[in-house]
Amino acid sequence: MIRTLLVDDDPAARSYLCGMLADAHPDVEVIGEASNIAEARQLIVELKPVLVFLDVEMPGGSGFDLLRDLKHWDFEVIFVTGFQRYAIQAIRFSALDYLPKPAQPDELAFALERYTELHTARSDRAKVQQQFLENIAQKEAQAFKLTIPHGDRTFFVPPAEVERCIADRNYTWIHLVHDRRYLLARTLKEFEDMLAPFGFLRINRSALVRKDTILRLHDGHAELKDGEKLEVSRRRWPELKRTWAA
Amino acid sequence: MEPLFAQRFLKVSSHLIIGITAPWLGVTNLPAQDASLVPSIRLELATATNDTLRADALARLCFNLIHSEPDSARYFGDKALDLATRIGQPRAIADAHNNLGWLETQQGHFQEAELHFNEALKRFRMIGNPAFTSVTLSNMGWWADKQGDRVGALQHFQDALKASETARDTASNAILLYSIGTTYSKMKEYVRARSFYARSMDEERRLGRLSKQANCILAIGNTHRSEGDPQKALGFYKHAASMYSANRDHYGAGMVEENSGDLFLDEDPKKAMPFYQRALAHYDTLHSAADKAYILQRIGLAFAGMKKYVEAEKSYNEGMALARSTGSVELEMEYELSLAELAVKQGKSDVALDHYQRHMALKDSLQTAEGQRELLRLRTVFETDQAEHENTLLKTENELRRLNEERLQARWIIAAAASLLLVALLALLFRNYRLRGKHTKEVERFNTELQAQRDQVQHMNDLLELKVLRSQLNPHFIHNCQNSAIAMVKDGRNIEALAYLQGLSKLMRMVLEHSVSDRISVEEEIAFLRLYMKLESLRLPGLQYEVDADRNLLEEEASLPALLVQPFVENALWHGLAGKEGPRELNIHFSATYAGLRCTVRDNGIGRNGSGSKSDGHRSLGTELTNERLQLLTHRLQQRGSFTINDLKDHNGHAAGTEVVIDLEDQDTVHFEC
Repeated sequence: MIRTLLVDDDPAARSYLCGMLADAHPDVEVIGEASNIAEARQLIVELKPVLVFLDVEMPGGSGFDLLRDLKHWDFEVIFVTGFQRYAIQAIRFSALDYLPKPAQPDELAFALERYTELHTARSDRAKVQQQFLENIAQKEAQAFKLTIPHGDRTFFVPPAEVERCIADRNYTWIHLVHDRRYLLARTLKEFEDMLAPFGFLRINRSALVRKDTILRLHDGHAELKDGEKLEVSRRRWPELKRTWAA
Repeated sequence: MEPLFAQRFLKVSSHLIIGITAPWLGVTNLPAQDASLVPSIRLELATATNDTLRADALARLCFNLIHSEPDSARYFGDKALDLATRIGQPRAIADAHNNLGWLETQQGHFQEAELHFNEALKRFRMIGNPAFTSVTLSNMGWWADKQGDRVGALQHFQDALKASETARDTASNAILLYSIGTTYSKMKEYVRARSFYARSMDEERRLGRLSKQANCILAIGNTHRSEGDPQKALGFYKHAASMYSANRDHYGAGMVEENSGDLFLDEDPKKAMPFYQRALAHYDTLHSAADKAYILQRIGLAFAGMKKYVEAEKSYNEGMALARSTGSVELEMEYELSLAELAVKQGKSDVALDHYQRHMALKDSLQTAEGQRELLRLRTVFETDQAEHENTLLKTENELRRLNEERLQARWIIAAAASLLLVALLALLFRNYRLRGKHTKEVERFNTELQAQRDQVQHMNDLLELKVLRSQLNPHFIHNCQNSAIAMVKDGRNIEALAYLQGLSKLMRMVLEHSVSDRISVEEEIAFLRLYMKLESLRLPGLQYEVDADRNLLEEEASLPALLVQPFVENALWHGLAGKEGPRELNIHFSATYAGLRCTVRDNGIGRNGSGSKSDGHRSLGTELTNERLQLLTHRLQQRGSFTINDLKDHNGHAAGTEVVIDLEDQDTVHFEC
């Protein structure tokens, strides 16, 4: 059974999530509910959950505060959050999961599926957690580091070391400097949302490229500094030329 | 004999300390002050190409002249300090102060010395190199020692040692340990003194400096001698002598033989003699007249002790000649006294008187010399004051000249600025003059600019309006959705209501995300319309809908303004299909056109005429909004857009639904420029 704790200050939101979980996954067992981080801390000690759905914004202390206090934790976290850009960036960069409020059934199912994968695979949880705490200690999202799980290892890279992201169906190849690349179980769209503030440009349907890796734009193609040549989507061409020149 | 012993004793130590005061290069085991270097340094000074080199040369001149020509040393030291201050090099400033401090110490000007040392120390500490601070601290140790302040000396040497240990400067460590030993020895703390000499010797051994090791052994021997243990002292002296000899250090060897002889001079002059003879041989090798003058007096004393008066007299006379040649009046005096004593022993009172008289005459001359020296000192002080005064005058004059020059320069700058301004003004006038011809054109240009600005403002207004229109849409739609959800709950269709509200919240999230950007991809628009129609289908039973797009549109990532199509779809649903019996069908298709993209919204509803008879508020609002939006879009997005409404007929000519065709031209030229 997946012993699950719900942390949310809104009782309606908890009851909604509780009902959804009952339908979403047969193994999920909600063992407790907390309405603030003090209660949550107590229940974590008493009940030892393996999965915590954690609201970010709560009166009396945010979900981030709870994790900051704990420093390390031996359960997986799925954040539940409204439309807060900083929080979402922090979570995404740290390769943790989040559900936008209110949770959609398909999103919840996907998050739980990821949880079961992660829970068995993730061996360096402590490092991931530490990186997450470092990320949320930053004043702005610009200083976040990207968490890249790869097999039983995890890398933490600043966005400046990412050269481009190439979509491969629902997965994404992330190319780093020095010819390294890793396949991640996330969509290109997610990376576009994450990396757009760092000077990354979509140049076609399946490629997101860091602006300063483009050597020149020529004949409908973007020639990259590492010799790679990528076709530019016809409709993106004028806009790309403008932004690249700027 | 004690004073002489102390003097010879100090000779060893001063030999050692001087090495520390080679400040400029920060190397502590440089040779001692050497006046013979002065000419070459003067040449360096004359040919120096920059102030840093000049300051360096001045500092070394000062350093090397400290003992031979203190006044010149002071002159160069002051100059070095001035220059260093002017070029603002903290290290050079500190070095100059350090040199001057040492100079003043040698001259017995302890207060001045202290001021200089403190300045040097402050700067060296700021530079943060412990090797430098160690040098100054060591000098301060000798400064205190010279004043008889042993405790102070000890303190400074210990501090210097700490610094040189931090700097890992083994040579300085060795010398400082020796200095501390000497200080303890002067304090009659012989056990402690020995332990420091021993530590110094360890360091010297590590450095492989044999003579310096021998120095330490000699010093240890001296402590035993001071404690009244000549046997132990002799043991150490012998050890030291063998080391000096091995290292061919005649000066050290002579010194140790001399000290060994001193052990026996009073008790057993015969035993002392061979030591003194060996010392004499060493000094002879060195051609050192001063040292020979010393040892010959010792030899004479030994002969006198052995009652060999003729040999004694011979030695005395030989030594006195040497003493006279080196200008050492004190030594000459001692010889006269020794000769007088010898004459007394021989019973030659007249000769004795003669020597005493000469001794007294020398003493007088020395006193006169002392008086003359005092006079000289006073005159130097006066001259220095005079020079300083002149210097101040000169400085003031220079300052005035500098100020004057500055004023002139400022005037020049002002003049230059004024002329520049004038030129600029002329250029402006000229340009104005030329422009007058183009005045009309200029006005036109301004008008265009103004127009552009007005357009910009208009554009922003449009944008705002667009946002307002968008938000106008939302409550209208949400209102309908809420009613639907309430109806479902009332009917007990709770699961449906839940799904419906979940869908609604997802749709609202999309609207929120889309509202941030003006344009969204066709893919996103399709997802949005599908969800929208899924929601509406719950309220319109039997609705069949389809949303698709040409494949190449997706490949090319075509985009369109957010929330443009939805109002047309809403119209089709609620004014075309809602009132229809039988199957309700709605098709939305995005296709590529030559100029851009086309969206076709087709329903099989009751048609415009049919719906017109059932007109209600929604319809007019929806159409009005859509019209406005499209107008705004064409204006704002520089994207030509139009829509046409076709009334569809079946083969019987009856109304068979409505088709809305929205055409959007691409906002940019689609041809690649290279």
